[in-house]
Amino acid sequence: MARLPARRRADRSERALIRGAQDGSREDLEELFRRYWPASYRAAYFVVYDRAAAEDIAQEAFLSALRALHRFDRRRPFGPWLHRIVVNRAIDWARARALRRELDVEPPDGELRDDVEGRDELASALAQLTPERRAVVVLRYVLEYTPGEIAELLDLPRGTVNSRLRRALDDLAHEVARD
Amino acid sequence: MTDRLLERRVRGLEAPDEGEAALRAWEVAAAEFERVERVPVPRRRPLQRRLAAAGAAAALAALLISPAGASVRHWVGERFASPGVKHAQPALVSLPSGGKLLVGSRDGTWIVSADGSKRLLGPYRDATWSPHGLFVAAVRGHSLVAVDPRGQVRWALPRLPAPRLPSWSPGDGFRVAYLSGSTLRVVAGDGNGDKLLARGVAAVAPAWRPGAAGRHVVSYWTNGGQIVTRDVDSGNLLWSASATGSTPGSLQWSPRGHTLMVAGPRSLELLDGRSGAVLKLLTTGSALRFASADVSPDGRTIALARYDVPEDRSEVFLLRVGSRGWDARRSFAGAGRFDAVRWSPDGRWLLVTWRDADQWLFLRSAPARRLLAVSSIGRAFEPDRRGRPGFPAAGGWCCSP
Repeated sequence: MARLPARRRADRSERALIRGAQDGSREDLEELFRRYWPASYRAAYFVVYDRAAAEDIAQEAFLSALRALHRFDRRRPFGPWLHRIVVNRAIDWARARALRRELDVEPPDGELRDDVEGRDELASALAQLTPERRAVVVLRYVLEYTPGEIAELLDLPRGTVNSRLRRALDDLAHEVARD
Repeated sequence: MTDRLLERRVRGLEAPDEGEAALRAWEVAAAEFERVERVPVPRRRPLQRRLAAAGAAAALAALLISPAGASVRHWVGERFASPGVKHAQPALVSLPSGGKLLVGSRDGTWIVSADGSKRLLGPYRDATWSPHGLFVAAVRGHSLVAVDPRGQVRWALPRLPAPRLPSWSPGDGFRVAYLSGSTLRVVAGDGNGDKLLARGVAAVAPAWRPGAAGRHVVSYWTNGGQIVTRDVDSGNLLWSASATGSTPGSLQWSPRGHTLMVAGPRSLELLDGRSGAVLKLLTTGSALRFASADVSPDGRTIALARYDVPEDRSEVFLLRVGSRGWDARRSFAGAGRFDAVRWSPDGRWLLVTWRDADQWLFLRSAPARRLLAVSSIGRAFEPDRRGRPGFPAAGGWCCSP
């Protein structure tokens, strides 16, 4: 199995890393991966609540970014670009799953079992929210974007972002208190 | 609980398996990076865009063309400014790995043999092979017919309302399912016992589940967006599930009947063959479309063609289903649209039909990578028509030795 390298290029600016990766530097790509993939996976997971799907989404998003790297404008920040892809794909996936009438039969090898076991009460409460509300919570508190930035990422009015955040926090508090 | 405390706790949430997932993802990303970097990708310049917009494709073609039949070190990850592989063969001289291929054009259905020769079977459409390639079920006008490869009609069901998309049951070949209008009907393999199975069926070829001899199970897509699997002989419903995508696409069972692939323009999913539960789901962005998908004969790999609408560019991916997620490997990319992907009967070659290049590509990934390209495909299957030829549809590639 390939191992993530021990050497880090944490001192390099994002723009330098992108330039390096565009010019073929694998080390610079590794550092971009280190900086952005873990949060992408975490964000995807807390929108879809499915490990395999979160891995698919984060991986596909990073591959999409990688393939489009040569035409990426280095003046733009890389993180929001990647996270926009991740969160929108995760919302699509979660919506699609919600629309399905999945039969109550365990698939082979235990795949795609919802990761309910071992979740703490807050994670369980978060899972009760709609994908759209989970997404704004994740963008705000996991990825630490401002409401204005979230509005841009999700192509929503800022007021909608604020109201979703407010309702999400209220629902979370209610669910946690009930548990 | 206060907002501040909630926020702090949300920030502290950890996703499971992050480390292992990162290692797997990095492995894939690093491999993809090496593929992309193996051939330096030319940067698009504004001048090139203007030239392209002005139709000066010839000026760009010289920049980005991959030789046909060459070592394929250069074709994975390569981008094409204009559709097509340069130095493609002018005519099909053989089918790699043999077999027989059904092709549909405006003239009718053709059979391409292993040596590349082709014959017009007749003015049929929606042709499909019987399990061992001894017969072809097809539609002619308002009739469903079974013909042998020499063109002799074995049986026909005449005067059907809008027949289409027949599908011959695997294994014993004792049943043929087909659509008539929006109904699904089934007839025995000898043309007898035609009966109605379901109403309100979408225009998607029904898919037979491989499995135990003597049992005939078929899946179909309803107008209401359900994927339904039914025992044909008893009529019993085995399961139904909602399709993720709203636009019907295609259905295909894995060779041993464990999973059903449901493909649409925006999603591809694998359903559990016993229950219809979703095992895997892959969706794509709003600007992308899945054009075609085909499960390999060993059931381990799905070939998937994807079209990027704003970029007017297509890619073929080979998807392997791992214990977690998909392992996606890009196999080929080029400008314009790919119509279909079809595995050879032995699973060693993949046919990609490249509409905008008027070419067929045969790709092999193991033991050594190869690319064979054939040009002027439209004219080959409409030799006597005047004007611009259409682009034929690749049907089934039959059969395993």
